[in-house]
Amino acid sequence: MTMIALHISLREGVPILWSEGKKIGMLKELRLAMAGIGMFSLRGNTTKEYSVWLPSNGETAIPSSPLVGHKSDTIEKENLYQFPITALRLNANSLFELTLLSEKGNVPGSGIIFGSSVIWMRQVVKIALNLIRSQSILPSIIRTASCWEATWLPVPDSTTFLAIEKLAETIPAVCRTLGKTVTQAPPELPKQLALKQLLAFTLNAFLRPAEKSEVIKGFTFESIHDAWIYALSNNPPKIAWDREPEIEEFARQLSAWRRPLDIHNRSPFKFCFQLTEPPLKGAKQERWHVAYLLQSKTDPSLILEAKDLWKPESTASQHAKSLTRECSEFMLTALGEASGLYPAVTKSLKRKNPSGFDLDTVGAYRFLLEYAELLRNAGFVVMLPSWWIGQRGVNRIGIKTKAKLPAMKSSGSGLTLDSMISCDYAAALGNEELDLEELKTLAKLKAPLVRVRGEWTQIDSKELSNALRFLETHPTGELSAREMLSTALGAQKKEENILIRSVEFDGWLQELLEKLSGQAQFELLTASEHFTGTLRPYQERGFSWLSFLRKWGLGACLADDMGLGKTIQTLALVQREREMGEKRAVLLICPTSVINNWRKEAQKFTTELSILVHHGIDRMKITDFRKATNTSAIVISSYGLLQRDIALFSKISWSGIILDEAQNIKNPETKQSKAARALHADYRIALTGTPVENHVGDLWAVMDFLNPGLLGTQHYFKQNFYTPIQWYGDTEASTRLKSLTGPFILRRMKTDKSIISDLPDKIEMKEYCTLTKEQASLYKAVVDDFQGKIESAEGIDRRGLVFALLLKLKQVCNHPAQLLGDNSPINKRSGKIERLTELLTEIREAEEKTLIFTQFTQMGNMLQGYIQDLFGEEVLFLHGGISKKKRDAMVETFQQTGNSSSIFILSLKAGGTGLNLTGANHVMHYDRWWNPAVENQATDRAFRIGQNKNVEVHKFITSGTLEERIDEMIEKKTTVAGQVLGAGEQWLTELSNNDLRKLIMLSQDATGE
Amino acid sequence: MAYEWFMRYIPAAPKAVTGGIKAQNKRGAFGKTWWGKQWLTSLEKFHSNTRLTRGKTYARSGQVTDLVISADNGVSAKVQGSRANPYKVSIILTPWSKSEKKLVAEKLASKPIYIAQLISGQMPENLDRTLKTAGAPLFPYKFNDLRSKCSCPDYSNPCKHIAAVFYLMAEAFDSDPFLLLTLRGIERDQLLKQTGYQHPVEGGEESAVLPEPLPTEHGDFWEYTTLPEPSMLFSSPRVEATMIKRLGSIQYWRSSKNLVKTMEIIYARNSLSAETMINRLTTEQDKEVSSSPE
Repeated sequence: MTMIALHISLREGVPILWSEGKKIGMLKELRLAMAGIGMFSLRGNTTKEYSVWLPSNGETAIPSSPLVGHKSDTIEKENLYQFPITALRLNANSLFELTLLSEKGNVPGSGIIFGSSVIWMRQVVKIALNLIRSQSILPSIIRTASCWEATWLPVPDSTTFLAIEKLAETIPAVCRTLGKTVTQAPPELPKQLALKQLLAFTLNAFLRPAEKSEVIKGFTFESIHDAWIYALSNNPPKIAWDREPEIEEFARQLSAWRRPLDIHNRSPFKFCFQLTEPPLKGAKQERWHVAYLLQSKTDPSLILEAKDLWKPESTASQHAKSLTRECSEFMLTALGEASGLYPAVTKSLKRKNPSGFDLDTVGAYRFLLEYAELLRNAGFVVMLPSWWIGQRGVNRIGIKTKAKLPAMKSSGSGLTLDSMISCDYAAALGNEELDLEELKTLAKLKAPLVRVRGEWTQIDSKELSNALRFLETHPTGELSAREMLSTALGAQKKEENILIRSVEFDGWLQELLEKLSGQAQFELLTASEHFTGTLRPYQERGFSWLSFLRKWGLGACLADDMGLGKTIQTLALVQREREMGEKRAVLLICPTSVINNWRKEAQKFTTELSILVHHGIDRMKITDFRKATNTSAIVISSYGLLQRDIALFSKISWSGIILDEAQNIKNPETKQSKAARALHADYRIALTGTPVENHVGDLWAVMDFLNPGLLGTQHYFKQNFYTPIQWYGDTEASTRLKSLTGPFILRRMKTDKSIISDLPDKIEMKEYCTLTKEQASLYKAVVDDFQGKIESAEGIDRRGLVFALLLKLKQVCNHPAQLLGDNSPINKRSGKIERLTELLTEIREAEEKTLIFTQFTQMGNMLQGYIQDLFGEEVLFLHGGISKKKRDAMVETFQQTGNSSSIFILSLKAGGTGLNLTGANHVMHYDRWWNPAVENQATDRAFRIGQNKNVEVHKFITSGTLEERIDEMIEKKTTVAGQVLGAGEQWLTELSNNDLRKLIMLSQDATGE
Repeated sequence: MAYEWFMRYIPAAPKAVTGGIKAQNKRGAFGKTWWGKQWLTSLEKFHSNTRLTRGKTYARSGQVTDLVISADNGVSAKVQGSRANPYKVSIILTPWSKSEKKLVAEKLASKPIYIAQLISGQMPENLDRTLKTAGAPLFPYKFNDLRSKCSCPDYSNPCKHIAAVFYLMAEAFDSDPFLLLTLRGIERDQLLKQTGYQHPVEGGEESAVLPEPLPTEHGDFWEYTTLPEPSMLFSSPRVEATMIKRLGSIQYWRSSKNLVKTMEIIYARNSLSAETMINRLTTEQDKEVSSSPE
């Protein structure tokens, strides 16, 4: 089962696409791969012969990935050898199409994998497109071997410049491996040069049509300038002008024209202005200073001072000289430009060796306020004192609210977050509280920059007067407890043009705040007696936390790692709520694939509570639904139905709404997200295994579901959090966001010390899966086909028929293609496959390894192909037909840390015993042997000495089928199971016709569709 | 007689030229900067007649087909008039003598502002006065400081051909005031060296890029470290073709299309299509497997 890898090599900047399959650079395989990924733009392109240098043992090239082929065992001396290839030149269209395809992962089609060069190339395309979008390009002219061409040059800003430098360092070797047709030695193309040529090609490819422009015969341009402009946006880029000296003269003019920008572009430095404060003491108390500096583009920590650079013998000068010969000219050009913007610069240039200038406080203020921005916009770097940068967000004048609370403890009854609390107001500058008198004094000073208690700070006169007016008219006021709480957590509210910056309160609200922010412990509870599960200590904490937030009507996001038991903690809360007198039902929304899991877990842990699954075509309409919810404690439904049946859901008064896998609503524009946020309930809980707090953009919708309004409107959130954090890396905004949302997110990881000690070494989980429509009808067909036959057969024949029936049913549950044996596509046709995909995705994200056991070699093969296509990584498969030597090699590969193989499929018979596979801490039993001893033995491949993580065992069971019923029988008879089940599945053949019918019958809740 | 009268008042139209140098200034006065204006005063203060108006028209319609400014030979240009062959025009500003050049270099080196502004496209305000006081003025003040010649039969100087060249030069000075020093015989690089702002380099041109051999072992060869994706999140420019606008038009522009305007269109169009492509890439990234239908 080998794949074809696609690679890109460069030929004077042109990307050349070739394939690596059974052979290197074989045209047939390339065409096959192109068709396989649906790249049609290349269809008409002609191919060309090239040659590439690849690591080889002398005969065959060593495969780039184990997915393509295996390295032969004979260890020969490796070296680079030349291989002829047939390859395709990429143009703008095909390059972009390839980039689009690679966005989705490195497996664009079945059996095809993108090599690292394709993935790398994507970033080049993105940079090129960004340069064009931001218009950071300049037109130019270039002499090629045969003619003069019009061309576009990249003029990257400093961030992009750095990105390009870094990108060059990571260029995959295969990009530089294309040799000239006749060479004796492998190419040694420098990385930076390779990227420079490639970027130039890519840029120009996107700025011109891919097709050749029509040429009108006999047409001549009026002037060389017309010919040049035409050639800039047409294909080919040749300048149709035959007077050579004129072109040469024009090339000179162009470079003179570009010089003012070029000198910045070429310079290894950026020109900086740095403002420093006056010293605290001494005669120079009013003297601020602006210094001229050069900052290295590649290493921003390297800063040279102009005052040293004017002295040719200084170390700084020597250093600069090693990087550029235009240092002085660059400084002068920069200063000349700045002098046009800022008169103080002009003044400084009247003396020799200008190194900066002094300013008084008013001048410094104008610099901070106006010139800094002006200079920045002109491309200079401006370095300002940290207090200035900080205070643009926080250190402004605002209002401080001081609540007048009765010093009541939170145990007092009748307190809700909606109660109104009266308060006093004061003014605050940063963290300093100012009274009315102090404010008036400051207002009299009329200075924009003042030193307040030793710290320089800006006073906005408008804010100052707003604050004055506010305080004069509002000595006291009233706010809701909820508003006070969210302000204390960092939400910003405006009241009559002045920001409410901080609050100060005492009593129960302070107590609540401390508990929320983790400074105080919330009340620890134990699950009720009627709860039939046992909570581990950390689960008890989680359950108590949920109850604490629920008590105050605050939404909670439980984001524990997969496997830590979010379900059980949530169910414990629901149980407690019922016992405290709750009569209304809870609505639980989850992905279709885990509906049965929830039902099963609820039945197990909250045996007294009645559960309603609202799902499937024959689900209830409003009247019945209303009735049924009145008598249910938990209503389970899916995200799909949340949006479809929203009218139904919104008519019910829910006690709470729980979203499992809440990342499903992260996109606020989707219907299901809007539906979730539109529902009303007393409390809300979101469960997720992915760390929402790391994806700023995804946070808003989940938080707005949990605590409406906490993060403001979507627009407000974008302006005040998303954009500053994501675009400008604003740490202040991200700290504020964290303090605002942190109290409502509880995330524990398996690796946390306190959790590890709480966890058992081995956690067994049953993964209840559903049947797809196709599986269900196949299942019925198999049952119908066999039932009559079995009932009329006897003895050995009957036993044989029962075995055959059980086998076929298991195959249906596994996958339709296993039953049909027709090599048909895998994706989306089996409930088990869906669940497996979800689990593997999460496990791979956590960078952990998995063993998958199946009894069927055929299923193992199918899984291997499917998972390889899914993740683009090698999946190992050990079955009876594998030699001992290969087997050992596989185990060794898998056990290596950091190896790319993270998934190991084993046939139960070949891999169930003997091996040591402690690299994995997840074990999946894709199908069941119905013999706990055999399964445990298999599990022990991972769960044994040497394992330093907790092992999670996932047993796949298809609900409503024989799988679920056999599992129940085993669970019930565990004591006798050893005896009864010792002989494998033999006992099943002894069942009466009636029992057999009950066992295999397909029940209602089997299908997920 | 009537015939002659007719000839005198309807001058022959100049022969149309394609691809001549076209002034980018399309109406009103030439010389946008004060130094461009000052250059023109040496022309306009003596003469204010139809020849100058005609010269402006010539400059705008592209009658000047060649124009070269050099430190050695001053200005030499070709202007297409009504005759078959273009006229030859030359304008020479008396070059500074060796000792004057030395003096000028000293003055320029005395304050960094002079060179800084000159090489960043501005004329230092009091430079002319300083040089004049020192005895080596930059602008022509004396009548015989500036000598111009034209091969046309017009007896008057300046004729419309010379005037056309004057106007084009004013436009060139606007964007590069250094050209005035070139006319006086000082080249840019020469001056930078003389004033100590350009250091001679050891070891020739830019350091050559060193060849980088490929790894030979397959582990190293196929190894790849992924970088975080480049940030795609910056907004589109508010002003089109900012860089072109900052640089201004290219000197002695010959196309009848305005460079800045043409570039604005090209930049805007490409920026938009790049944005569309980027959006396609981002939506591709966000595309998730939609949840299975109920």
